[in-house]
Amino acid sequence: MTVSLQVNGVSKEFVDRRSKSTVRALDEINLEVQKGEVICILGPSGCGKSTLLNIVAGFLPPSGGEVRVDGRPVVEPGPDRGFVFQEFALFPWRTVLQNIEFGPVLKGMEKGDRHARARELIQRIHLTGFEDKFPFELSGGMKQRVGIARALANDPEVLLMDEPFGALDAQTRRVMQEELLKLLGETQKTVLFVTHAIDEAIVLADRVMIMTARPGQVKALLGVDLPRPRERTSPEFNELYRTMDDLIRVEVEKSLEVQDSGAAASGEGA
Amino acid sequence: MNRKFVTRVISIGGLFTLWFVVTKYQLVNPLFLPPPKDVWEGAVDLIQAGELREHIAASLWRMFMGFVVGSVTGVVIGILMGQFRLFHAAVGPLVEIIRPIPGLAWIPVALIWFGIEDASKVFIISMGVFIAVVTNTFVGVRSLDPVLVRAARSLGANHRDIFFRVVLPGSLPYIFTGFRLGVQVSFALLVAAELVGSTSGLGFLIQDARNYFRGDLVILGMAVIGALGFSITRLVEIVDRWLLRWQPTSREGTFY
Amino acid sequence: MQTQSVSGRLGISTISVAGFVVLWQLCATLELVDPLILPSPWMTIQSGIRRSEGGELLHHIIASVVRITEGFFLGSVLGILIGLLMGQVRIIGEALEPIVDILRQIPEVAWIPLAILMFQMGEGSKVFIITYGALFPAIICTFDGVRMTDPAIIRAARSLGAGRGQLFWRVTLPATLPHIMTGLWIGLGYAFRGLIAAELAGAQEGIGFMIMLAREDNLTADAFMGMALIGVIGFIAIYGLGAVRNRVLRWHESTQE
Ligand SMILES: Nc1ncnc2c1ncn2[C@@H]1O[C@H](COP(=O)(O)OP(=O)(O)OP(=O)(O)O)[C@@H](O)[C@H]1O
Ligand SMILES: [Mg+2]
Repeated sequence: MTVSLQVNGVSKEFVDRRSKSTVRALDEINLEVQKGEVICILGPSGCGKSTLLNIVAGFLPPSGGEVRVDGRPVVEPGPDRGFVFQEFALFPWRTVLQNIEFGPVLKGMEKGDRHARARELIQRIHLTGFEDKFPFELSGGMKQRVGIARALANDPEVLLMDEPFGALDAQTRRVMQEELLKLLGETQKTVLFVTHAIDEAIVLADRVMIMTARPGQVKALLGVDLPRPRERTSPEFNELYRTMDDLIRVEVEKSLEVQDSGAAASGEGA
Repeated sequence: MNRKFVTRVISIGGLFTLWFVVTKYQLVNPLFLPPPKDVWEGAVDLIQAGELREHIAASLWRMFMGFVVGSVTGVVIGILMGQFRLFHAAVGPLVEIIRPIPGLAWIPVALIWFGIEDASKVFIISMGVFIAVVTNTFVGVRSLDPVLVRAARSLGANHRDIFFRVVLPGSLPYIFTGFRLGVQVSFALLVAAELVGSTSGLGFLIQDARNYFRGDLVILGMAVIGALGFSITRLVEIVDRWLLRWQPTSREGTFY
Repeated sequence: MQTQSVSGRLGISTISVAGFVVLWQLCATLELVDPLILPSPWMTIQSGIRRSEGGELLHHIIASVVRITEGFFLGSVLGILIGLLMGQVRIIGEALEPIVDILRQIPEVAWIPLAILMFQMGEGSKVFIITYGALFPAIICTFDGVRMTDPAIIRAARSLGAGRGQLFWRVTLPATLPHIMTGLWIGLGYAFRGLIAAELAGAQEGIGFMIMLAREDNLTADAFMGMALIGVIGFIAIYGLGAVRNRVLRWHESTQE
């Protein structure tokens, strides 16, 4: 097995412009991900999950530590790391096909080649017949399928997904999880997948990373060794669910306390 | 915040410095860009003679009268059009015919009808305000959520209650948008009307100054027009925001 | 049911407009109102026919249309360029914003006397006024549009491998397009206003000039005819720009009606 993604001691501090105080969002995160592995990240709100993903993507520089993809250090965003957004972020002026072929267009790929690639992806995400629709003509689930296909069209080494199904209803979510698993089975991508739903993490992940309340640290890394497709009703599934739920609940309560004391502290300061 | 303020000062200060330098070395014809000193002295003269005050008062009075006439007729007709389909069918097309004619095009006719005094300007302004108010009032009444009317009815409201307690307050945001747009539009109309045919007002002031080749007074008049226009629209905005503070989002208007 | 009531209302509208015209005509025919105050529809049409002879009317129309086309084009292009520059280069945006904020408070019609001092009565003063009218809405809307570009879209493009130039041409510009169209839309109204005011205030040709002349000669019918003409030209311009907008923004919800 080869290592695809390394996060080495990554920390991040934000400077609040107004109070000039620093907020430590991430604290010494270490993670090594094998090629083709799916890692789901769970943690209380505000613990730094998006921050971590943004650093891996190259949108934000880390305050300390480094990220390596395929051995090369990350300095800026690039097509080797596809990003899938919770809010879809499709280009509204481009059709489904044009959205998907955006990356190949930037690379200067031949029209015939990139169309062929986009059409193949459209088929795989079951949107045949919607090639020429604009984003506003699609449902939320369809939009996110395009978002995933757009990221895959670049054939990235790593797929970064920040609550990609967070804006979808429960039913659509389930369907999307199944389709994502199928897509990933075919492509063998390395995936970092942020979610708030424990069951989603167990369904998708090879390993689940649970983070502490801010400053975010790795609290636990749990392997999910259940056979696929995973049955939500199986005793093993529920066992794992309970373990994770207990771990996270502690952190959520901690993060609420931090908020309270933070508010009190700033109240004193004023 | 501080940075923004500093750049603001630098850029406006730079503009004035440029004005000084350009006029000092006569890089531009002083006929239309006199030195700041001339403008300042012109302003002092005009203020001391009480002339500036008179012109401002004349313009403001016309503005006010035109606004009252235009907004009252606009609200009444707009509500009638929104409430009664028959009335809308009858009057709507007539409004649609007037709408594409810019308020300015009425100036010559207004001069023929009402002469060169206040009445012609009041007519022009009320025309501009009317169009903006009638359109927005109508849209406001029509876009009222029917659920609200049903809710009121199920709570025992009669026709009158529904009109005064639901329809009117419900379309108020749109009516106010109409007021705001109407005021914005008609201030420029007023200036133009005063420019073209008048014996007082700010538009007349700058046109008259031009006739005497007093570039300093033209620029002064333009500055006063800008400041006054800004103050009027701000005033309407403040009143509007205060009256409609229950509205969560900002509103866009429909004009043209 | 539905169609019936719609056609019924259409009938009422037709009757209303026709009735209005008939009433208007009757007023004049029965000499209820002095035709100098209110010329009849027929007189208005006649005046149009009379003025068309020898190509006089066409001459004025062409003069006005050429002016508005030149000024609107110049103002829009300049405004879009300045707005893009202000949005892309932070220091330029910060430096120009206060100046734009001041200048936009002065309506284009208030520039007429100064424009005449600068360019005399020639074409320059008219085109200047029209350009000024179109300029500021274009600047402000474009600038706002660039600044309001959805940051998620920009990040998406960057993660797909877009460089600086590609980001501008393929993301910022199309994302700003709806705002630019709004700017042109508002600017067209101001440009039109500027055109008429400039022609009323002092010109040797153009529809505004024709109306003003009619007023001096107390030819009310001619003034009415000119007004109607301005309305029609404005209507065509708005319609044309709307058609352009609907084509350019096919991907935008607002064009789907
Ligand atoms: N640009 C920024 N400037 C200052 N502070 C920031 C910035 N971005 C994030 N933070 C802070 O960093 C912390 C982590 O934020 P982040 O968005 O990564 O959390 P998250 O785990 O993704 O939360 P959620 O589950 O709600 O999405 C938060 O406390 C947030 O307030
Ligand atoms: Mg997040």
